[in-house]
Amino acid sequence: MKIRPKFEWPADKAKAHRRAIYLEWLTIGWMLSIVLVLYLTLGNSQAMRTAWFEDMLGILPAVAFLVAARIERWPPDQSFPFGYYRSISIAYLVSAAAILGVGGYLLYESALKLIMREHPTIGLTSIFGYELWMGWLMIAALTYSIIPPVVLGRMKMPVARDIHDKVLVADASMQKADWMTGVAAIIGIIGIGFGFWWADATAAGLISLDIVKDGGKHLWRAAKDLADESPRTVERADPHPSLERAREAALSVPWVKKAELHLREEGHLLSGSVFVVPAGGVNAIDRLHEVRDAINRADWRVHDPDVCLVTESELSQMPGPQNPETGEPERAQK
Amino acid sequence: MSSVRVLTFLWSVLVPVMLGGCDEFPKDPNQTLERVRDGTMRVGIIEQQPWAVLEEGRAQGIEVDLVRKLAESLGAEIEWAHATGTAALQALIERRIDLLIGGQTEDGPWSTEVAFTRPYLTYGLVVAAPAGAAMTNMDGEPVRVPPGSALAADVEDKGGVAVVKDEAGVVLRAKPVWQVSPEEQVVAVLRQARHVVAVPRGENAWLIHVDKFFSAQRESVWRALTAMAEQ
Repeated sequence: MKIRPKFEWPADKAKAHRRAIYLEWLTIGWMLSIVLVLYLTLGNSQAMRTAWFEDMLGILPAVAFLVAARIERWPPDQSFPFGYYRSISIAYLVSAAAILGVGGYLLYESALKLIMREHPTIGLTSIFGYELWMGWLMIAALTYSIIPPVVLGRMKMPVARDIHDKVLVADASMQKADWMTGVAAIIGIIGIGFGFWWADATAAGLISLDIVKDGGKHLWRAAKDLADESPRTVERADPHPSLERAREAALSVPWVKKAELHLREEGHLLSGSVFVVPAGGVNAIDRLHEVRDAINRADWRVHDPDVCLVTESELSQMPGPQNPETGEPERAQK
Repeated sequence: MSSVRVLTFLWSVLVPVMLGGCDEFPKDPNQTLERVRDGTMRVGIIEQQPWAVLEEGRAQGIEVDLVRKLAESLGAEIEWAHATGTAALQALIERRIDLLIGGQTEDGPWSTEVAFTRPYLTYGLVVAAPAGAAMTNMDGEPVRVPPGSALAADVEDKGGVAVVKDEAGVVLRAKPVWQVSPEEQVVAVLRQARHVVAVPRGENAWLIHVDKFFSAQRESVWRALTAMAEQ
């Protein structure tokens, strides 16, 4: 069996990837501390239990990222000749499901509270010998719980774009969910303080709709990635620029007359087939590697593509990339 | 509507309300405290000696006395509920009464349906040996427990044999620590009794008021209990 060559990160991307790993370890550390602080303050309050459970689920994308980042490094072998690069796509799916789970759980809990007309009880607590309304303590803990997600989420997005890491994108999305739930819970507790028993559940319910929407969006994207959708940018707005870069690179080989390609996502990488029409009178078979080398030089993400020789008439039957909404042919900006 | 906009909206509603007067925080959704003050306080009881019992239709007991003091401090009339026991509990869940008393403890089964104060009184439930019994534990020994009490299970768990009748040779007694006389010897601690009273869920201002009042009565309750034990 032919086993694929192992992918090596270019130096600058490897650095960004190491930073992503560092950020995710940081996330796990902070989130665990938040889980602990919330656990210590939640007492027997149902509202805080929800926030606590949600923060526990919130660690899942970070864990999925780190596990996948490790598995991804395994070299291709007899059982997995294409390598383990898709573990990243699977981690993306897991993270998306976790976000949807958090949103769904929050929506269910808050709807149930409103339907049951549950009046949240927040009484007194003693801390260092002082009697204090438990609500203030909860607000303090929740304030602590919203700061790290805001900061970490913002630090992650540029790195995610740089190395095209969708797990990181999903994780940033999860952290948005984390801090928004925290703010909602604070507003809810203040509302309870003013005698609006529905404030907590209403704030949480509204936020949960947003989280469900985000989770659904990511789940759908992760499913499409695993179903080999033509690669698009992290935010999905445009066809991925690597497509056009790889095509240009193939065309830059002197003996290539025409080139077209189809690629799919394999985690960080893109792979697939490049179809080239050779100019007449060239021993194309012996020079096929030139196409692969040109693409490798042009774009780090396109890994080990199959280069296929085709005739001009065969190529003319292959459409270029299309906009998924309009069906119109489109080319990425260079 | 985006969530950020929702949050902004909620802020813009809540902050003016917040600035508009902080005389009492937190407040009750159903204004219980406001209504009770110079009004009527509806109280239900679960009958249990010595905390609250009905004698010829009249409520009596340690917690009943406390409730009378609370009503006096609020200038409120007390309306004793006709129902007792689980019917009184149901009345509290349905908010037909404002306060439920009667020797309830924090580990009571309905802590999710009503709001408990923090424990205002905590003491041990113990097994005591009479003077001169020369016992240091209750392993395999018969222990007299009150009929129908959950203490029977505690006694069995800790190696004793629970009995409900006085029989010859039964010298160990399970009882609250305030009933233990100076001559008696404590041979085992069964559990802590943490006494609470209950109000409807979510009435946070009322809960806090009742909580603070009962906490402040700890000393006088303890005196009443020990005085009762000496009689």
